[in-house]
Amino acid sequence: MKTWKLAAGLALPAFALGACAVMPEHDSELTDARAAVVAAQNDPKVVELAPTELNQAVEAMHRADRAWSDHRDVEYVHHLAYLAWTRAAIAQETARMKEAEASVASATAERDRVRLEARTREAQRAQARAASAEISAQRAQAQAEVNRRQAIVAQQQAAGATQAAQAARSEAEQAQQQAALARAQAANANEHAQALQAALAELQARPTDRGMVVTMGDLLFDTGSAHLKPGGERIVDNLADFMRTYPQRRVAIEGFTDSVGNPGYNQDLSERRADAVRLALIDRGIDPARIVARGYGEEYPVASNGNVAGRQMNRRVEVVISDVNGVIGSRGSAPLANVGRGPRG
Amino acid sequence: MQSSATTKRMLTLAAAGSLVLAAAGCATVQPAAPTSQLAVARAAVADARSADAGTYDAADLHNAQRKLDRAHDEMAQGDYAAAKNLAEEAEVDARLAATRARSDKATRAATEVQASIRALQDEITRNAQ
Repeated sequence: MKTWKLAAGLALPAFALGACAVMPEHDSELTDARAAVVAAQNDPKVVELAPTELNQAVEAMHRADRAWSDHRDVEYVHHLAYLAWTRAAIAQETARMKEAEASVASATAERDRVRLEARTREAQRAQARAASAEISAQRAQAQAEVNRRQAIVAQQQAAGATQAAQAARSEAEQAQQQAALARAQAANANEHAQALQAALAELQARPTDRGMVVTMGDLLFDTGSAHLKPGGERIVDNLADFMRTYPQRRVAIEGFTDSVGNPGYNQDLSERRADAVRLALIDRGIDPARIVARGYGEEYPVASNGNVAGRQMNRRVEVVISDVNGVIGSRGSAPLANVGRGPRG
Repeated sequence: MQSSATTKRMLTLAAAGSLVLAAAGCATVQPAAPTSQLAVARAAVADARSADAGTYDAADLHNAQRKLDRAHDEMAQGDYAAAKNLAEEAEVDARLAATRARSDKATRAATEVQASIRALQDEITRNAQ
């Protein structure tokens, strides 16, 4: 039998171990068992992983060998050989089991490691995704900030434009107001001028080179006297009203006579008549500083002294009204030299 | 080869049984009842069953159970030597069955774990792309 010879060959080293090395080997059961035990002994994995079971197999083999050398009955030897053979198989199987268990342990560890690696990578990917999302969010935020600033600039520009429009509007309004004011002032000035004209017309003033002149005729005074008649008082009333209305205006009151009689008397009368008018104005509340009065006697006739009518015209008091600045043109700038006698001295 | 060897052993054992009985009749020393050996064998068979030897190594478990039953029979008939031998063989058969069952289970478990490792590695490779 082939297996028998193989087993016998494998069993040769075991003879060295066995106490009964000199025993001839004839029993095939014993041979099979020895081969199995020797095979187990020569298997480094069995030696390493199943030493207890291998030891039991070797022990069982020794018992079988002893029984054989002790010439115990063959059935008993076969029984022990069976036990040895099975113990050897158990040792082999135990080694295989331990190996598989070690493999399970290491594979489990490996699986845990790989699983951890998978989770780590997943976490890294999640982290990368989160980081990328973060960057996107930041970018969006930055864009929003840019938009916001642009909106502010646009708003400011709009506000600037509104302000400019308002400024233009207010300027226009101001100009309009100024125009209205100017118009009002013009109207006012016009009114003033008209009022002045009316007042002067009331006074029956006539324009001359020295200004407006109100002439109070001889008939307004008692004959040969400086006493004012009621008509003269009325003219003085009007004159006082005028001077109150136009406080910048000043007056020069000048008295004149005809050439009849004593020139000294005439000079005195002209002065008294001018002064009477001055005092009447002062009586009516006009500041004396605004009034000058002077008599010229027979000088500056306005008509011929050769007839009654001319002499009556020459007996008079002239009230010269100043310009708006209070200035009165000096007498003599436009003397009536061609009428009557020339100025004295 | 193993089963044929077992059958051969069975036959020789059966043949030896009558010789032992004959020898026992004239033997002056009767061996003690192998009660503890039977208990050990019974425990070994139970252990093999709990290790699912019925699934993984039914033949050896069957042998062990059969020898245990016969050991009980021999014990009942007063053949203690035969009962002891059968109990011893039942024990090693049961131990072999249990060890094979555990070995096969561990091997299968190792294969499964390695397969799961490959699956995980495939997953990592897929996700990495």
